[in-house]
Order: sequence, then structure tokens, then C-alpha cells
Amino acid sequence: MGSYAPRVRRRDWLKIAGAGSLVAAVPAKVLAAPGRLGEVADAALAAARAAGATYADIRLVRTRSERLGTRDDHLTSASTSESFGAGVRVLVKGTWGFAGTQDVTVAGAKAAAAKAVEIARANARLRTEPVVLAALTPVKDTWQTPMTKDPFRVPLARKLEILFDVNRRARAGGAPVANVRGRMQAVSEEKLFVSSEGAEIDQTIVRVSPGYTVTVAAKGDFESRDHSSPAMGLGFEYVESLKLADDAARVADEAHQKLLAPPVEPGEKDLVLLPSHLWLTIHESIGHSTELDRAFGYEANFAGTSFATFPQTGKLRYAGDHVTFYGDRTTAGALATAGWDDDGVPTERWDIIKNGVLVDWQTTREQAAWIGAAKGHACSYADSWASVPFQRMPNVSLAPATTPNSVEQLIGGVQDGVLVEGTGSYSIDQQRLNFQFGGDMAWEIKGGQKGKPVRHAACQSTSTSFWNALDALGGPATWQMGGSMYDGKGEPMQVNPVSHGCPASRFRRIRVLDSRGGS
Amino acid sequence: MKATPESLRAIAKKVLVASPAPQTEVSVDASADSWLRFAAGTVSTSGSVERVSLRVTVAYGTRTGTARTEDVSPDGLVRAVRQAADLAKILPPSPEYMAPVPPQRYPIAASAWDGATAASSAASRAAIAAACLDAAKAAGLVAAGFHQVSESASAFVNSAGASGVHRATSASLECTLRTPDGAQSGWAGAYSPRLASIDAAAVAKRAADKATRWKEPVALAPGRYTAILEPAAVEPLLGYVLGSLDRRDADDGTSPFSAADGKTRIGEAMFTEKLSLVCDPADKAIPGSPFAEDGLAAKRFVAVDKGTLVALPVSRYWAKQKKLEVSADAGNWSLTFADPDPKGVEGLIASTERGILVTRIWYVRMLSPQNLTVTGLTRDATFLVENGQVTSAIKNFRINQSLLEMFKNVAGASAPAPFPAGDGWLGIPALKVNDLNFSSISDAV
Repeated sequence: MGSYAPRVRRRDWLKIAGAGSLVAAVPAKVLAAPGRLGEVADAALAAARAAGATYADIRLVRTRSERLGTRDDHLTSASTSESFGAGVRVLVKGTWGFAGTQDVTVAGAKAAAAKAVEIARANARLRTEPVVLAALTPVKDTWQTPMTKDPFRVPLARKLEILFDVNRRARAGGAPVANVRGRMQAVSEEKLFVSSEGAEIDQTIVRVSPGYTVTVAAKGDFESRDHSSPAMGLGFEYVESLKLADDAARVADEAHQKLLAPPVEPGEKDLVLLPSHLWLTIHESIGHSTELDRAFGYEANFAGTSFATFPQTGKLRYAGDHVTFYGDRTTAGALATAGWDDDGVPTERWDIIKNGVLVDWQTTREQAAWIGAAKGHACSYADSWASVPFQRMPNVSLAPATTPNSVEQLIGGVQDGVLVEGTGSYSIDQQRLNFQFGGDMAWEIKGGQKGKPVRHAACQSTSTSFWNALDALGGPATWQMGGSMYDGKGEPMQVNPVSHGCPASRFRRIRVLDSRGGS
Repeated sequence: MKATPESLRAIAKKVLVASPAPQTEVSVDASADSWLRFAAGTVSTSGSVERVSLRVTVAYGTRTGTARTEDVSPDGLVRAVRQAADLAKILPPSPEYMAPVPPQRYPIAASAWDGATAASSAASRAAIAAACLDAAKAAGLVAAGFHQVSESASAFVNSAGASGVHRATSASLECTLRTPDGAQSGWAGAYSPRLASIDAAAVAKRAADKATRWKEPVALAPGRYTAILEPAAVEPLLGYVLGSLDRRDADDGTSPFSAADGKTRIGEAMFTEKLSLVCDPADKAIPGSPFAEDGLAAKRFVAVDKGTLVALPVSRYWAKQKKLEVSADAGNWSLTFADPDPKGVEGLIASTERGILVTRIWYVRMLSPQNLTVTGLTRDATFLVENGQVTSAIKNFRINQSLLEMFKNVAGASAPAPFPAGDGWLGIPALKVNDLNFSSISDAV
């Protein structure tokens, strides 16, 4: 696999981070002394140990981003941002403490370590059982998102040219276009993880998020249609491969069709769900329900718990025998893909629901001890230097059929149903059971044929009954990834970029409602 | 926190001096957040972070660029402003760019900062968590919750001479108590600019009462019921209304406040006549920001007056295009009722013949932006109210509801109380709403 940048070494990490782009502002304190980063890390860990920590780690993280926004034929926003700092995490008396600092110097790191230890000590009396970390062989290594075109080196004019071309072509077809809003975002997350056990891991993770929305308005009514282009853990070569402008006339025309479409006829119907829609249902009903921290009550105050419980492992049937979901932080191009997690655990692929039955969970190094496992599945992530790593969702995907089922074949087996593309409204309860999902665009299916567009379609179901109603999977050719840069969880809330791959899939007898009617 | 408003202003002025562009705006924000999380009856993660961030926007005519950085060293400031200037030089003109505002007289935001809150310690946070954990244990329940104390400061300067500073504090405690078998759950929370106003024992007691009373919930048939929505249930719904208040969208025909004839619905009675929606930097109970868009001085803005939509927020650009007055709101929207019930939620319950008491609503999402229909689910203790009293626990519901319809059906309210929203505060009351659409049952606990 071709990688744009050479592998990064600890000592030249900052030089690479600062190379040749508009978002290249590198902290002067560190640039002035390029070899000092290791000293900073070592100082933090030594200070933590001296203050009584039995374990400590430090993450030095720089996040860079570039965002462009357009409305119609002009630019509405252009900004770059950079965040750089260090997060020190310690275990004292089996209790976590954490402190973050922007003062990335030896003195700053020592002060952060002292504060983290002070917090851990203050809280130790509240801890009922000590934190136990699974055994881990520390490594010194690097990892970088494979890409062929660094998005930060692509001229802004090229990015704007794409978005302005989208506007021109969206307006060329005669749809009553009210506005065309374009967006282009690139994010780079560079982090150096050093632990008191001897781990030293450099990683550079790059993600891009392009897209646009066309809104049409007529006679006091309006509708919008998105280009269903997911964010990905790739370079600008992905943005170019989408040919965003080539789809603009179709997107505008479909927005108009949507505006003119009749509301969906409510009732129990068969559904054919395309990957651009289904990934989000996987995220909400499979991804979140199989997070071990939820099952153990660690998110009870905010993100919620799970209908699935640990004693149900090996027993709880989510779906039929033909359905397998897997966690995988190694999927090429996926948003949660990395070499190691933020505990320094190597990433991997594993089955979560195998042949329809819950067989495993999303876990971290700390959580392994909760369930008697020898190791976790590398699901620890913190969204910045200022955040505490905790269990976040890996890429959770649905395996395709082994036979080459096409979308047309899936539709051909439906007498009365709805075909759904893209994501619309989505809502699920705090135990990940009762959900209601809309799409960006829906068409009726009659007599095995795709029919006219319908408006305001949403499906309402519960997780296990929905997935048990999946009767046919599309083949590998229908398998695609969708994803979000902003999966929220935790307090203070953090965001996690995550992808979900799936084939087109068919579901039998799901409740479809007219969401605008509210019933 | 090491940073002060004046130290931030000094940083901002250095950026101004370093800017090569004729037009420059600089804002510098600092925050110190300390938090403690507990769950499964024990402390989980806890931390403390101080950070400073800078945003600089420069323009050459209408060519503009913005850079954000957390590096506020002398070299970092220069790099950031040069970066913004480089962007401005290579990007096409932005017709929506508005030049820096002239010097302003900023209002003094009332009661936003409290010194004792800014000085809180790890030990005080642990004591608050201990109060919740101990109360849960005594009641045979399992505690999960979150306590945070924050201090923030900000400064703004621009090349036209405007300059202002602001600082604020906040404290919050949320507590969810559940039975060990996971069959019952109750939630309570408290929020204030002042840590001393957070009564941990009272929060824990309310959560424990809810969890204990929400026992063996029965399934009530989906349908339309009178609802008593506590503030945590109102806030996510009101948020969708606030997010839709925009004059430009209404003029474009892409808003629930657009009229069919190409005009807006301003002047139309859209809420019940006792409701008003106001933003006032002088509000003493709900602190606002002295800065509005682009550093304009915030001023009082009324969107809904006695049920009638009287104005929609207007940006500087749209005001110029349409010859309208800029709204310049302080961000502290408050939903007020003409005669709030002096007994609050208890009073609303007492006046209800039959209805549903909702503790909080979760995962609210837009279903139809045309009529502001949203969906969401109740959680953490939902009760049936009969003849002025809570009579039984009921299963959770999904609601599918047009908010335009809902705010027409408000029959009572408490006085608004501070509720955190982003970096600021909203004034959120408890509401009594007739005919709320509880569309399906949720078995979630």
C-alpha cells in the first residue's frame, strides 16, 4: 500500500507535522528544541512515578484542521485551526487521575503530572475496586493513514473549484434551487503516546469530509437532498474519486422530486436499505449496544446503558444465522482505523455478532479485567490532548453475503416496500432498543420494481426485531462504508470518528410511518 | 486559572499589532475545566484542563481568512495572523464578509462570574461525588453521574477600535441512580454559575426518589396526553426552535417561519399568548454574553412576545442586504410564561387532572423542518399524574411532535432557571403542555 509520507520517527515528528501547508503553525517552544519532546514525556512520567503513580502515560497531540464552506457561487467561511498539548494520565491507589496542559515543556509536563496525581489521590477513597490493566508488551513504532494525496497540500483553489462547479451544475437542470451549501474539511491528528511501561508510539491519522446539500423551495414548501459522500480516513484522492460535481444535477433533480413527492403510505412494509442509509442503523443499534462500558453502567448518566448484558454473551440472538458483525480498527480508509489505540494496544479485527449471536464486545485494556479476558480489543480513544481516553466505538461492520446478490435482486423480492438511500432523522433510546430512522431519499417498491419517490418516510422498530427481520444480504459488490466524524459519548462529551461498512440489505415487515404526520 | 480577561486582551492586541491586513478581528478565550465522573457506584475518570485559544480573522477588502490556534507564544501569534493573511490573499472574495464593527459599549453581563467557584479544588469535587455515591448506597441504588466546575475568560479587539472582555464561571452536577438489577432509574441535575448553589444531597435525594418510585412501570397506551415536562425535557425541544430562528432562512422560504407568499410569518400568533422568548444581556438570573456577532455589543432581543412572532435574528450581512436591524443577541434565550406557577413542577402536577410527568427527553432529532416536527424519547422516570398527584410509574415513550403545535398548547409553566447550553446559559422553565403526541412505547430503562 502506497503511503504519501515517510514513516515518522519520534525525533522528527514535529518537523513532519509542520511541513508546507497553511495549517503549519508549530509551537515555537518545541521547534526551538526539536529533541525536547522526549524529554517532556520522560519528565512527566518520572514526576508521576515519584509522586506515587503505579502507571502513567502521556499523549502529545496536535490536531490540525482546514474547513471551507460555500453557499451558491461564493465562499462563506474559510478557516484553519490547530490544537497542541499534552494529556498526562496516572494510576494512584488503583484510581485514575488526568491533567491536560498546553505548556509542553519539562516544567509544564511535571506540573500536569503533579495535578493528575493530586486528583487521583483526592478520588481514591471513592474507588471501590482498583483499576487493573491487562498485560501488554510495550512497543516503539509508528503508523500513518495510507494516502496518495495529502489534503493539506492541495491548493484551496482546487477545493473551491469543486464546490463552485457543484453549484453551477446543480442549478443547470431547472429545479427551483434555493441554495447550494458546500463543505470541505480535512483533519490531521498527530499523536505521540509514551507510557511508564516503555511504549512509544507515533501516529498520524488523516481524515477528509467533503459534501454538499441542495435545497429547493416552491410555494411555501422546501426540501433538501444531500450528496451521500461519507467522511473517510483517506487523503484528497478520495475526494477526487467522488466526482462530486458530476452528481450535482441528479441531486438537485431528486431534491425537486422529493419536494413534489406524496407522503409515504404508512404501514408494515418490506425495506431495501442501501449502505448509505444502513450504516447509521448499525452504528446506533449494533455499535452502541455492544460497548462494554454501557453494559456495565458506565454511561448511565449520559449516553445510556444497553439492552444487551454481559451474561447474554454467547446466547443473545440479534439476527439470523447469515448475519455477522465485526469490529475492525484495521479496515483501510475507515475513520476509526489506526495502528494502536490510545492505551498503546495494537488494533485488530474480531467478531462481535457471529451467525446472528452476540459473541464478544468492544473493550479496552482496562475493561479486559471486568470480563476475565486476557486482553482488550484496542477500543481506547481520546479526541484531543485535553481528553481522557476511554472506550470508543471501532469500525463495526456487517459482512456481505457470499453470493453476488445485487440491489435489483433484493428489490425484485419485494411486493410492497420502500427503498431508502442516505441518512435523515435518527433517534434511538438510551438502551439502544426502540429506534426511528428516516432516510435522505425514499422510493416506493411495488411488484418487485423501484417506483416513485415518497416523502417523510421513517421506519420504527426495535433493534433485535429489526435485525431478525433481515432476510437477504447484498453481495460484496454492494458493500460500502458510511461514517461520522462526530459520534458523541462521555462526560465531558468527546467525539469519535467511526465508519461502518455494510451491503445493501432487505428487511421484512417493518413499521413505516409518515414522520411529518407525527403518528 | 492563570489567564485573566486583561491578560487575554493584551494577547489580542499583540495580534492586532502584528497583522499585515487593513482589517483584523481577534478573540482570545481561556478556560479551566475540572470534572469528576462516577459510575457503577465508584469514581471512574476525573481530570483538569486549562487552555487558551485564539481566533484571528483578517481581510483585504472582502477577501478574508481565519486562523485558530492554541499557541499564544509571541511567535505563535505572528504565525497565526500570517496564516490568516495568507488565506485571505489566495481565496476569492467573500461577498458576505462584513468589516470590523466600530467601538462598542458592551453591557455588563450580570452575575456570570463567582470567585469561590473559580477556586474549587479536587477535594471539593470528591466531596460532592461522595454525597451522591453515599446517598445511593444508603438507598440500595447504584450511582452514575458527572460533576464539573469551569471558569472562562475572553477578550475581543478589532482594527476599528472595538475592544471588550468577559469572564464567567459555571458548576453542574448530574446524577442517575439505578437499582442494582437495572430495572429502575431516576435522574436529577443542578446547574448554576455558582458552585455554592449546587446542593449535592438534594440532587441525590431527588434522583433516589425518582428511581425508587419508578417501580414496575406499566404500559400506557400511546396517544395524546397532557404532559408536564421538567426543564431537562424542555431544553432539547426548545433548542430546535432556537436553531430555526433565522430571518434569512425565513426570507429564502426554507424555514418553518416562512410564509407561502414569499414573506415571513412575523406578526403571526405562533405560541400560546402567555409565552415569550427573549434574550437580554441584563438578565440577572440567566447570564448572557456581552459580545454578539463579530463583537457587536449584545442588546435585548425579543423573538416571541406574548405568543406572537415579532422578530427573527438577523445577521449583519442579511441586515445590510435587506435594510434590517441587526439582532445582536446575547445568547441567553429565556422562555417566559406570563403567570408562572410559584410552586414550580409540583404546582403543575397539582393542577393536572390526568397527564404524564416527564423527567427528561433524550435523542431529539428533527423529523420535518417544515413544521418543526421532532422525535425523541423519555427516560429516567416517567409517571402518570391523576387528580393532581403522581399515581404510578409508566413505561417510557417515544414522542413525535410538531414544536409549533406544542408551543401553542402550553397551559402552564414554572419560572425559567439557568440551564447550560454550549458555552452559555438558557432560561428553561418546566412546561405543562396539552395534547403532546406520545407515539410509541419504549421498554428502555
